[in-house]
Amino acid sequence: MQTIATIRIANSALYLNGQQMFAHEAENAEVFFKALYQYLKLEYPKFFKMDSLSKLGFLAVDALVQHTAEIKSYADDEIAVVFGNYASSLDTDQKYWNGVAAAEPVASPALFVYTLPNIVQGEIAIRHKWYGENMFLVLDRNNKTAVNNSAALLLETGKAKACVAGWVDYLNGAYEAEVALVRKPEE
Amino acid sequence: MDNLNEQLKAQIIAALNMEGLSPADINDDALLFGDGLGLDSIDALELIVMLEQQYKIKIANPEEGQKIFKSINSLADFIRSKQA
Amino acid sequence: MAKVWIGAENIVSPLGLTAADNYAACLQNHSGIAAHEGIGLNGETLYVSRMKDVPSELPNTTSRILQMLYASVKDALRQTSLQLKNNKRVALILSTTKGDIEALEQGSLEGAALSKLVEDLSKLIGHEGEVNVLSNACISGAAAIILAHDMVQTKRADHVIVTGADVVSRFTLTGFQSLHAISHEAARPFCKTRKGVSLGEAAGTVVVSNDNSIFNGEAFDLLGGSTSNDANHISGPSRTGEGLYRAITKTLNRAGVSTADIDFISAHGTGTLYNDDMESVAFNRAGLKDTPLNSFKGYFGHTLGAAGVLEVALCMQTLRNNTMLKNMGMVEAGTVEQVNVLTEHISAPVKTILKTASGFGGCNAALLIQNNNA
Repeated sequence: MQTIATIRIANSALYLNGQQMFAHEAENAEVFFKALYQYLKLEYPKFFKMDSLSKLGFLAVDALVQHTAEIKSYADDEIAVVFGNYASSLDTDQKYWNGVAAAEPVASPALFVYTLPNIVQGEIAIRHKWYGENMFLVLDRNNKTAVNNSAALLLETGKAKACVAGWVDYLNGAYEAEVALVRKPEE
Repeated sequence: MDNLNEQLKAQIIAALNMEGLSPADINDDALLFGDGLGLDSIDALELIVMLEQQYKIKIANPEEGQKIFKSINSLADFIRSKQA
Repeated sequence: MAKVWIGAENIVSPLGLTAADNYAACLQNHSGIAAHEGIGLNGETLYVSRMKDVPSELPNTTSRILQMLYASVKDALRQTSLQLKNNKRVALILSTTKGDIEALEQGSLEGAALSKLVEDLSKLIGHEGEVNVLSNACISGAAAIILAHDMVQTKRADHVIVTGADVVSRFTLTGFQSLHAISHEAARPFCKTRKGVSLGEAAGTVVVSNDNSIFNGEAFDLLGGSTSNDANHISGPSRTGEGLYRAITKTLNRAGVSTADIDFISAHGTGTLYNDDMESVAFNRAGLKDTPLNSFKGYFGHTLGAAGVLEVALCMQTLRNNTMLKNMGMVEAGTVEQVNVLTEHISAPVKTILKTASGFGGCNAALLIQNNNA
């Protein structure tokens, strides 16, 4: 499996292939995500409705698309999106549940729709018009390699020509994204 | 009058968890749905809950909501008509 | 590439504790869905398929979902000669959306972690190979079986235990209520006057393997499958059925199976207006409008992450018994495009089955199983 480019978002900074591209010390993740949105010159109002996990994955993949010309050479169903994380959607799950458990219970539809980890893949598919394969794995933090193994499987079986694969995890303000564009080595 | 508009913007941002937006980012006349702010049918359900909680106004038919929630101005007009 | 087998199915649900018992209950037109008072957000009565007594082989401090998973996997393993001890070549995949969500309701984030659930299960059954959790909303189960197929086909594993479960919780009930998606009667998928979803709880298990001889009973060919995203909306089904259409056509093309070869479709069929319409459009586009189909959700409710595994287990029972089960609850057909929904159980030779699923996040899945044992 050949890695074309890697985007990492962690510690209030964005890295491309290990090199820091942008940093912005912010009091919390949401403020940093907004700064990153502006740095990437995005105009996508729906971004602000997303939960934090979706914002994180969305930004990582947008940065990846901006920095890899190759990604645009694939047909709309040739790119798979394979993500893994530890916390699933637990961050938003908590927020939704706090409303339901309140003295006067409120069930928020806008929160509930984000109580699934793979929603971020839906947001990315809509943004880039990618109709390809999706897979979301929830793993122990020491088992991140399982994501790449599963991405490799999709390339090996020919279900995808390229794969946006990586780790996208958000819980209680702590975040880490590392996604790569990978493909089969040239033959 | 404008107070209601500003209040609504803050309430919509809170209801839809749009933490990264500030009220100044929303124009009074801009479309809330579709190409404007990008809201959808789920958000309409959320705004119906918000109207019930904050203004004690019930909208029985979610379809009706789409017209009321066209823009901040239309929503403010609707609330004033109910409170008049 | 290696030939891939699927066998040893189990279902743990309100209708029974084995796949055969569940299938027999459906054949007798039983449904697990019933009215439960006071379970809605504000104490409303809702219709759900909930287990009165979960299996209790494990200590009573064990979560309900783990009790169900354990009982399901143990029953599946009893139908095989698989040795788990010192065998790294057996993988375990859990498909679920919310796992032990009741732990979160009680304030334990660690307890609600999905990786903990699969690791607990792995230890309890004495499993030593790779573990994984697949969580793609309502296609989780189907996608987990597809992943298992690909792992065995590419020799990443020799055998994969695929187990799926979700429980009916206040979390999911209130959530579907907030979306105005819950039916105020038992769900009636594909019916003209359908009113929405009934949630259900279940665990289901199948064993996927490169070796037919590990199965005590008959096993079938798992021909693999595909997933596809609608790229349209995170919670609303695509009106054109784009993702489901693509998942189906990719699956058929890859397997070299034509639409005429398909004897039966186990559709997703949640009972919401838009989902069932979307499926009818996709099946028409794929040239499958005349193929007999059902949704099993009138019997079991929507079991979310378990649904794909549960429904593939029922498809395997359909192959064993050569009787297709009717679509429970439909009074009158009424989707935007016409499809051939089964209104009664039909006994006929069934060789090839297409299973489909669609879920939030715009994801869709299709897979094929085939009986070549005759």
